Amino acid sequence: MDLLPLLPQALADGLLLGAVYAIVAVGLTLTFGVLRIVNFAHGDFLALGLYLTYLGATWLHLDPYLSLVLVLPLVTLAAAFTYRLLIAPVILAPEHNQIVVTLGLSLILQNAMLAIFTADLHTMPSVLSGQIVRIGNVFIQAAALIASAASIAVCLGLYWLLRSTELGRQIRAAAQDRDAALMSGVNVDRMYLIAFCIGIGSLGLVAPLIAPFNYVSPSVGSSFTLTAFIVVVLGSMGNFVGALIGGFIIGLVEAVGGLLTGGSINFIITYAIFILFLLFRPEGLLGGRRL
Amino acid sequence: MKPMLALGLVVAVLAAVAPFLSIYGQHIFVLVALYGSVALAWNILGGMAGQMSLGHALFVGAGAYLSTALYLNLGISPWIGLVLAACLGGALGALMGYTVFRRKLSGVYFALVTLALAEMALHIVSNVSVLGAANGLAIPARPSLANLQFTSKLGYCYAALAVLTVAAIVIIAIHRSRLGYVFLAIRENERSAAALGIDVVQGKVIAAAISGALAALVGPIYANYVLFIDPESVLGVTVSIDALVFSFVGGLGSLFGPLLGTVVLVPLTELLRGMLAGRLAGIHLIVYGVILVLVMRLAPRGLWGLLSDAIARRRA
Repeated sequence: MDLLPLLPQALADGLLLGAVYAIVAVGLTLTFGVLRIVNFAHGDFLALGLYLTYLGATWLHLDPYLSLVLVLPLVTLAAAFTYRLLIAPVILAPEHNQIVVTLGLSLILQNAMLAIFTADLHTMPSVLSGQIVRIGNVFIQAAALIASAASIAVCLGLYWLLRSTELGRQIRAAAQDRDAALMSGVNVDRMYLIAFCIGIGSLGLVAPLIAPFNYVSPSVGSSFTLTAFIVVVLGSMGNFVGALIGGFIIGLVEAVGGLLTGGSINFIITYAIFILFLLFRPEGLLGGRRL
Repeated sequence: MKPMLALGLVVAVLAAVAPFLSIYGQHIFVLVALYGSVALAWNILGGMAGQMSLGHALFVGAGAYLSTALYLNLGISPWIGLVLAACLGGALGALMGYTVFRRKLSGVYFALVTLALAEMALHIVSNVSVLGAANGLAIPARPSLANLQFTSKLGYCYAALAVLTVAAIVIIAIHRSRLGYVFLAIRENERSAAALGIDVVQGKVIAAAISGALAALVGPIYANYVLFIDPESVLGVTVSIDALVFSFVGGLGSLFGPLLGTVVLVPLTELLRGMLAGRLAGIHLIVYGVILVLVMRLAPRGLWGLLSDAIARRRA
């Protein structure tokens, strides 16, 4: 079979997927860059957002796009509670303990969703679900286009927030040197809370947007967590632009790899890239530049 | 020789008690001994040498698949498979340790490499037809000592207890030797360890090799107990997480804390499963998560730490 005609489609799919990976990874890289905490429960908050969207669709008959007004604040609120209850107490603890706490949180979230919603897959159709945009021989779902555009916009917006606002300056100060920031009058704890809420809250924004062309199951979260880790390591931990680039790379690798190999073998390629990067260039593509 | 004597006594008591347990009790016995062995193996690298792995399923799965594939395809006895499994686990551990530690990866990077390696192994096995791909491998029931299969659960109790004993002997031997101090020095402060002339990379590689070999020993016993393996059950991330949970809950710094964690959590899991009769799948993992978070918050040294504190207080 000649695969060349299918390549543009795969590239388009890869870029669309990559944008979503990028925003999920940006949230992870923000919490790591600022709090120095690796959150193994990151993707589970995306799953939480998807389930909230699903509830909005079944109980309130809300279109996924409308449920955004509920899902975004609820997920952000969950993030704030998580920070106060679990993250803040271990912020100065050894790395092992922090990892174990977020792993524990992941176990709790994932299996609570499993207990409540069972392992069944649920879809959340929207008015836009069937809409297709055609460019030449490439077919693109309108919903995927919106999600990707929004993801990129949010990434850039967050970058602007961190670079050009007073709040961003304080967050960066807290990230760069906790003690110096404290002495300069920055409320570090508050900055940590805000960074954590933004990092997780962005998932509350993405969830309703990807809901129309995705399914949700309790294990969705952990697969996104792992992908986000791969993207973050690829683009250098704590680096925004890197997460954006890394997201597109992994999206393209998965889409083109899926085209060439067909099926689950492309996971192996992704993991191989990840492991090679961890071994030979753990500082990532862009090096150790921090927030 | 005091710890070895104590170990011999404990093993003798356990072996004497096993025949009097109910079938269900023996099932729990086997599970505790097998999970406990993995946790003890994990603790050699994770607790004693301080390198937290999220991929010990790689070793358990490699052992299970090696002995099962050799038995099914070439008719090689699982006993030989057991020895080969330990060799493979040790080799994989050494190889992984060498590539990772030589590059000074530690902490979360090490955790991520090990997680990725185990996940990659899972996806590779899921695509290899000789290994049953995603459907797994079923072992035909032909009970005989040569096949490492037993007619009663009691046989499995002893097999699992034997693996656990091997793990315990290795741990006591390490603890009493120079190697134990090397691990301790690496865990507490790598730089000072290096300054004292300890080869840090070599020490960690040895820890990974021993840990991998012991974890791999569990694979063949598990496979022959359940008579079925598939990628998710022996290579899945839950196997790695379980070992970590048991170790942290039991007490990371201690020698036998991980076993204590297993002794408490595995029966608890089975109890919950029995009470809920299949409803609310995954509830035991919620409990694990809650206990894990609570232990980190309230007793970072785990149950073993609580216990030894209580004993010390009583003596004082």
